[in-house]
Amino acid sequence: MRVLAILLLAVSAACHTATTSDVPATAAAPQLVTAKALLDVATVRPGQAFTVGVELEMQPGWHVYWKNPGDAGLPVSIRISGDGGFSAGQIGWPVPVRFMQPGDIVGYGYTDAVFLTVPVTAPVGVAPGEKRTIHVDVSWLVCKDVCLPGKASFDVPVTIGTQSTPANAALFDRWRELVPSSGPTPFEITRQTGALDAEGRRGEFQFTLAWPGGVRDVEWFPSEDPALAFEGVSVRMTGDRTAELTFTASVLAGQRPASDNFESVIAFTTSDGRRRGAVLPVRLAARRSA
Amino acid sequence: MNRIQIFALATIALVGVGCSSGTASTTATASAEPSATAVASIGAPAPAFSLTDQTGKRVSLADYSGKIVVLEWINPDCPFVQRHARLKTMDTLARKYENAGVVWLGINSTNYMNDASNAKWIAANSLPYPVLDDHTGEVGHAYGARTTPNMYVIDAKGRLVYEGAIDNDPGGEAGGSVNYVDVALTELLAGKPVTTAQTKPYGCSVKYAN
Repeated sequence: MRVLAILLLAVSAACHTATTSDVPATAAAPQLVTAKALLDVATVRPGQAFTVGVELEMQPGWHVYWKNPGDAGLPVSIRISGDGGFSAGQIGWPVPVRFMQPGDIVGYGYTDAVFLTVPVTAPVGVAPGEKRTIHVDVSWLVCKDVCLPGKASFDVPVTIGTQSTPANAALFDRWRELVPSSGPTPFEITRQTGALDAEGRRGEFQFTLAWPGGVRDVEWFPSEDPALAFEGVSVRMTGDRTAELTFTASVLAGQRPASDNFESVIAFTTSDGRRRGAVLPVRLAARRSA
Repeated sequence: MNRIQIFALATIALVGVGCSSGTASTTATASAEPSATAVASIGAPAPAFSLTDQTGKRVSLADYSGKIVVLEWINPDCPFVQRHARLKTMDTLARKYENAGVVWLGINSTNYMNDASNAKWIAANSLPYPVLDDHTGEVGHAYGARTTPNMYVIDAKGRLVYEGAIDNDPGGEAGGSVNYVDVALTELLAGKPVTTAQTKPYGCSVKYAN
């Protein structure tokens, strides 16, 4: 019953925007996503890097999507522009959660709240004391029983200084730890088999992973390459600190993978209860023998 | 053997023994085979189905034997479907290929919808094609439809020749996007094989009953 009530609210909210209904604002559905944008610096030196953080808080039961949304959905999008030569990099995505929807539809994303970060470099041709503004445009698809698109825009003031001084450090640090690390993995890949078949269409892959300490809740999140599909994904704990990942990757008919290698993410919880993630590179093609 | 192949065989078997019950014969697919991303079998026979349209009229895939058929999974509550309705993406394409004999069918597998929801959607958008009621999700599961919209193109021989997204613009922001169904139909009508036969569909998840 509660589900139905929320669903009706959501639907009526959608209708509310589509038609010029005279329903008072107080009757509208609660805001499904509350967005905020902030910086990890109070002042930034010309030419220095800083970070824009976008916090999205969802109503209970609603979710937004990771860079690979899974079978359906749409990733959160963040666009940053600024007057006078600010340049932005790629979004840092914390480890997602997986949700199964009726009909075995898998989604990857975030419930409750997420903090996405984007590295930005300040222009060099600005003088300390100057104030600039960066525009942050965020859009998302939020889903529960229905899906609704949403967006928010922020003009964030940036103060140029002789030094970069930090701000919001605790918040940025807490979420930064949840962004999968790349480079050397925090586990050892003790065994790795699998490659696409001779036609380059399909292959079964298996990885054996060993951590230096105890882990639990090991999960695998696949690449966002839309030319690839995955099935038979299984992560099996083979000990306190070892897990075995198996999956079948196939290339969609008439398509080619973006690269011979794709990046996936292994998420795990350490014995002291910390959720962490690491990039697991997967090589699709068989290694050529010399 | 994947879900579509199993269903196709089961359906052929049931049709073969003269299955005339009103519902699409999908008992064989009731056991949910775990497949996170069901990969449809391009080139295999498209699963048979028999559903009712928005007027209650029975529509079967077999009715269009010898014709090219486009299936469009829809959900009137889905913002991706609403965006394409505003842009008249499907409407324009259905009309463009109507004279070439291409049949366009909408299928709604949303668990809480029915013929009336489909009739309302057609009227609101002046659609030139019927929308079939699959609120049990049986046909959706048989095709492995995951999103709305999720598109399928079936050639004149009844084989699945395209499955996936309508275009390459999930966010609705890219200019000059490629409409995969348009390309597939152009190739088919020119007697050529469909080059991009499968893409990752985007949109809302199909709101299945189970």
